[in-house]
Amino acid sequence: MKKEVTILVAEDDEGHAALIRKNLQRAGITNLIIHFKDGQEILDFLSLKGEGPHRLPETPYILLLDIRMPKTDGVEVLRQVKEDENLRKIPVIMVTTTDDPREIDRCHALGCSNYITKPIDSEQFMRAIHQLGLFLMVVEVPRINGEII
Amino acid sequence: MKFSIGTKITGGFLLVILLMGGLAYYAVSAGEQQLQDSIGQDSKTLVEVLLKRINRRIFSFVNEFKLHTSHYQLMLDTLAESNAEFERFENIEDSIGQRDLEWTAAREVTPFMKAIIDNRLSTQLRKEFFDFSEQIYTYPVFSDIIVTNRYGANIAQTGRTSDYRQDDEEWWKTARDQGSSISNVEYDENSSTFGVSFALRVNDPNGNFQGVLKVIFSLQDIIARQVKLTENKFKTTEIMLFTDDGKLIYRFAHPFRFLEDQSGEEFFKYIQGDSGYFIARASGRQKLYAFSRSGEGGPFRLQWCLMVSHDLKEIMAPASFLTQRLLIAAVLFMGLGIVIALLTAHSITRPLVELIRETEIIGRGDLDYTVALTSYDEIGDLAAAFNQMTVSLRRTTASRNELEREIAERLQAEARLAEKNKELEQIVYITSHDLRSPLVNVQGFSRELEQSLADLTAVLKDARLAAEHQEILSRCLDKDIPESLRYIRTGITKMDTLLAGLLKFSRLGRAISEVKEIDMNALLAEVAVSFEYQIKETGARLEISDLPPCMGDAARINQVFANLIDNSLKYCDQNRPEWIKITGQKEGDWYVYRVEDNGIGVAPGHQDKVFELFYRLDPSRTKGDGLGLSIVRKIMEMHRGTVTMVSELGQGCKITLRFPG
Repeated sequence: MKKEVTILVAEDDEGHAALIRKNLQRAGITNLIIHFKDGQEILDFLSLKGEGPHRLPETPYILLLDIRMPKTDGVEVLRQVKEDENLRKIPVIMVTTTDDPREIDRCHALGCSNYITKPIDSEQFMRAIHQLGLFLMVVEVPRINGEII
Repeated sequence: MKFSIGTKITGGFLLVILLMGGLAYYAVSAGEQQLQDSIGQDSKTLVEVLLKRINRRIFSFVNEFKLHTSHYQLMLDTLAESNAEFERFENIEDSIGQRDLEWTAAREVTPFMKAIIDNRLSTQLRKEFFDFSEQIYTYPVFSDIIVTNRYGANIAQTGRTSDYRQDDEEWWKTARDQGSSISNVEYDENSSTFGVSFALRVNDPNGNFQGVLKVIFSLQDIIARQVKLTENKFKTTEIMLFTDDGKLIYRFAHPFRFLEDQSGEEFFKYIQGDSGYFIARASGRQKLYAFSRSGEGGPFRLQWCLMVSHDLKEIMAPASFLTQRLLIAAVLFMGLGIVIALLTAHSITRPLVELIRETEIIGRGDLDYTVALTSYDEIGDLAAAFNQMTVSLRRTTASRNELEREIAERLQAEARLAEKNKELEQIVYITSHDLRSPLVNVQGFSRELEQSLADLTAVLKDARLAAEHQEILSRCLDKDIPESLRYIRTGITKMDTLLAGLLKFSRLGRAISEVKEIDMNALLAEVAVSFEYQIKETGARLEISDLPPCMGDAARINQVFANLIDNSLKYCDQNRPEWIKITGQKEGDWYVYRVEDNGIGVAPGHQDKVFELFYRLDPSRTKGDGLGLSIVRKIMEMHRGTVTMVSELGQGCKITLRFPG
């Protein structure tokens, strides 16, 4: 993965976010990781609303979304991102604790790129995040304007 | 045909009245016939008696006369004298003839006639018979007496006769030859009387013929006297006496022509036998006739017939009066009957109509309506019964309302329960999900701790520390901290398993999504394929017999069998080769499938518990979430079926699944 790609993590649980960051770094991902505490924050960031930080026009992004979050949940974020002409090409990876097949189906139907269940088992979790890291290494992330970098 | 009760009652009444009328009419006509017969019989008896009396009277007069004249000396003397005188004539025949001519030619009573009429014998006869009989009987019995000598010439006579000589007459000859003769009824124009003449031969003591005595009985008075003695019952009663060939002799109380021919009349042809009665028409009127004949066997040659007749209308007057009265009474009774019938019918139908109207009110659903008890009879009882019925109906209806209310409440409760269930499932789902989040942290950071510990251990390995510190440090780093981390991780794993189970169970949902007929043979084959690896590993034998199809949600039923086979494989007996048999058949309304194995079995005390959530038979030995049979039971309940277990510890286990047909 190109260095320019910024990883956006929407995760209400600070611990989870830290674990994701640590494990990604341990897997060799050095890209910029921005953490949002809920779905609303990341939507504001992406759609240039609110007082918080806003996305940069030339920067490619990738989203890691937790599903269960306060204010706006991950599925809603996914839906809005995929409905937005400008944002729809951003890869979205769902990272969540539920392995409910109905939920997984719903997310895939909305257009998520990948779905990762947070495993409790340490090795499994490590392995999953590592795989995610490997995935991020090879994935081609388009810029917002559609150009692949 | 449909008749109202009113019509039926009126009709019944009329029928009874008509029957009564008919009976009365029959009685009257029978009475009429009886009356007619009785009057006929009565009249017949009357004429019989009357005729007998007339005959007897005449007979007794004749006898009386005979008796009186048999030894009548004056007559014998006079006869002897006359005979002697005539014998002295040269030609008797001529002398008599000569006198006879003179006699018949004479218009006036000649001196010769007068001499005879007034002679001693004639006077004596008049005196003895005429006067005497008039004194005794108060009416003239004899109208004429003639005595002739043996040559037929008159020698005495009580009145003037038409001729002088009688020897040419029939009666004279008969009397001379046979001793006596009686004539038929004759009419004497001189005296305007009719009568019967009786001639008697007169002998001298030696029996020599001396002459003939003839007497004419005046019938008119004899008959009239007898008839008068009979009571005249009816105004129209007529009494007639006529000869056998229909010549009228006498007609009581009516003018008539003697010997008028009656044989042309209608009644005449009914006269048969000695006596009788009959009905015939005469001058346009119906008449009852009764007759009596003195036949050939009578004492005289008199063959006559006495007949009485009455106008039928008059004699039947009482009967027709009765009929008339009956008719009036019948009409009156009929009218009265109709009125009574209508009143009766009305008194019956009015409460009935009222009852019908009221029951219709009840029929429309007004169960609180009470039928008014207007009549105190069976209809009143009916009304009371209706009220009883509405009371019962009200009760059952009330209990039905109760029931409906209860059902509604139950449905509501069920809906509430379903909502609660859903809520609960949601809670279970969210809780297990949310519980998992911190667990991820616990797990992840204990891993981090491990990493940190490893780093720390590497750094501290080379550090120089006091011996006592070194000892504490190595106990912490090598033993206490790793042990703590191990416990933490075991706890995490256990909790994760429970949460995963809860999530899985809550995801089963409440209802089955699609129900259709399932080819169980195909389904089990599919299940068997998914276990192929494990079966090969354990060396178990799976036998599936031909199974009947059943209705259900294929994915769920697949899970049921998967769980059961999984259990059987999990709890196999290591000491013997394992087998699993799956059978199925239709039993009554149920489709029954059995999964049987020769595993370790379940102790009797645990057989109910195995279906409980998170119950595990032997946690140390096998892995599992303790949900297999709970899920089986839940799926079976969702199919309105049952699951039961029969097992013997150490022998094996048999699970029976029943699906409704």
